[in-house]
Amino acid sequence: MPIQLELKAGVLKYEDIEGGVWRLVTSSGEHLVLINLPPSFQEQDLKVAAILKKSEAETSIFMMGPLYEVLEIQKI
Amino acid sequence: MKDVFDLLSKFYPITLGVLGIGLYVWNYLDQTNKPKGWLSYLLIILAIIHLVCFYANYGFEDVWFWIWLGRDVLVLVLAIILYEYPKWRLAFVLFFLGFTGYWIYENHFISSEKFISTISDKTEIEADSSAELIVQLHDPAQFNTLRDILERTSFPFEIKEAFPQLSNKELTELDNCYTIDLPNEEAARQVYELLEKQNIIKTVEWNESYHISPIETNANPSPKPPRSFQFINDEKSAEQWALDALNIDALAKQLKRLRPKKTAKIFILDTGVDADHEDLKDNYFSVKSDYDKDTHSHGTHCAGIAACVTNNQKGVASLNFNNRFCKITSITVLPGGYGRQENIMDGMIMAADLGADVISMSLGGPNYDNSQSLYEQAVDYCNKKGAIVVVAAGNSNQDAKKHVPAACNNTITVAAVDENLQKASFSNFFSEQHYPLSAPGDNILSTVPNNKYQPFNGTSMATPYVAGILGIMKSLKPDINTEQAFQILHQSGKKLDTHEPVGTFIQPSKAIMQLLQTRRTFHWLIEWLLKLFTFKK
Repeated sequence: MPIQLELKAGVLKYEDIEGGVWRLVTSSGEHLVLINLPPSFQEQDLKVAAILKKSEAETSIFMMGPLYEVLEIQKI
Repeated sequence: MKDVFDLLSKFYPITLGVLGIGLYVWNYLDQTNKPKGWLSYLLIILAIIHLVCFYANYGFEDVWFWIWLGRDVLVLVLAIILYEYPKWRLAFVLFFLGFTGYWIYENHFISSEKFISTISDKTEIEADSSAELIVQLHDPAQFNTLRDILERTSFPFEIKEAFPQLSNKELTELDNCYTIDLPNEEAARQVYELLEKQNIIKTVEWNESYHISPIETNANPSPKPPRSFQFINDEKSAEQWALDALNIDALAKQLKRLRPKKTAKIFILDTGVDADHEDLKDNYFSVKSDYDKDTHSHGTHCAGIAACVTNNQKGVASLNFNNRFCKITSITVLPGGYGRQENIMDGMIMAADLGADVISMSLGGPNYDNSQSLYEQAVDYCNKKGAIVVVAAGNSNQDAKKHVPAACNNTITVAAVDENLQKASFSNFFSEQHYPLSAPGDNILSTVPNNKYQPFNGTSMATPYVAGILGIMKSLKPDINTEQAFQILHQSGKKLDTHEPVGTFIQPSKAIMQLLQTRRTFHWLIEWLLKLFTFKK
């Protein structure tokens, strides 16, 4: 099965839940949990565009929605 | 010192039995003109030990001290008198054998229940401060009549002057006012209806100071007075609002004298646990060294909530009073905080095979296709092996049925509430769960790796509180199953007035009381017959 990559743009939000988690909130209102956001991008309300891959790991301690791996990311 | 007294109090009935038998032997030696000097000294020492143990059990401040001391003296005097009548010697021996036998029976089978029944008039009242009435008499001289009326009800109560500080009693009739503490609102309602009809009562009211709802405000809240707990000495316990909400003092008072039938094993299926943490290591057992480290913190945090070392003057406290009821261990199923369902299920099966009593899973994911069915099969397996599985509701502010394992029909699923006992903003809620409960899950202080402590938020934090009380329940009643445990926690819990349903808020002391009361039915006859000769007040 081919890997599906998604290009998403939005704002990074830190949630103080379960020890802390970063989410990408897109303009369409999606809340995507990012499991490997690079530290240099860990900034509240930072606008970014990112190429994401839906994680094969469907279970997490965050329990806040689907998990995404960040493949590429840049500030916009 | 407190521990020494606790230990001595356990020997109290034995010392009475030994003293009685010693007197019997002394009498025998006396009547057969055999030397008994050594025994006389031994008896004096025994009598002193007995008094110390007796004091440890009752304490001078308690009126029962004098009542039961009188009883013991009477028993010993009777023993001496009976010895003078050879026909009665056998009765004396049987009497003491019966005494000793009952002690063993009591301590191994019914001590827990009896303790609960005898302290319930205090503990239960403390557990629900909302059940308080305030009454005003026409005449203060009618106080004893009021007390008689209350004593005729079946409810335990405490009555005291409502305004003892009045300095100008001649200016008011408030000195005729008394507060009546009752165990719960239902009892208070019945007593209220009873008192309304009494001629001696001028007015009877709910003590409204307990019914004021918190006022919502955006202003910074004024700092709350530091919490202090009567039975907990952990350094940071004052920062644990959850201990207050769960009424840990009432629970500790109960657990203080209960003997667990086993040490329950709580398995934390998470990111691993820092087994060397100063507030965990004495209460931790390892199943595999790989699982005894935590690079994330989440698993260590959950483990601390479930059963960290309590009363060690360090760190935080858990419900596991004096560390006698539960031990914790870890199976790492989400090393980086996320993983596959198969890993979780493997962990569940491993935990069940290793004899888990409680499996705590602060994790979850979307409820796709047949994922719920697979989880339910794994939970079934755990249940059949004797484990209760408790899981987090999830943090999406959605119906928990959209998440697994939260949606499973055979797990206890836990939502999070905040310090105002409202649903935490992030917490999922319930519509169809079979076993929904709620527990503190906002701003929860607990252990994190490297001997540190941090507050976390999440339904993950609420889940191990429920796992902790389930562990205690399992230690007292090892064969309890998910359905029974849930019913007890549900019925004894506090109903919350929240916008979305989050299940009843656990009240551990009431749950333990209810758990033990279910076992009482088998012993009521013996308890009734031996009421006067019970060893604990």
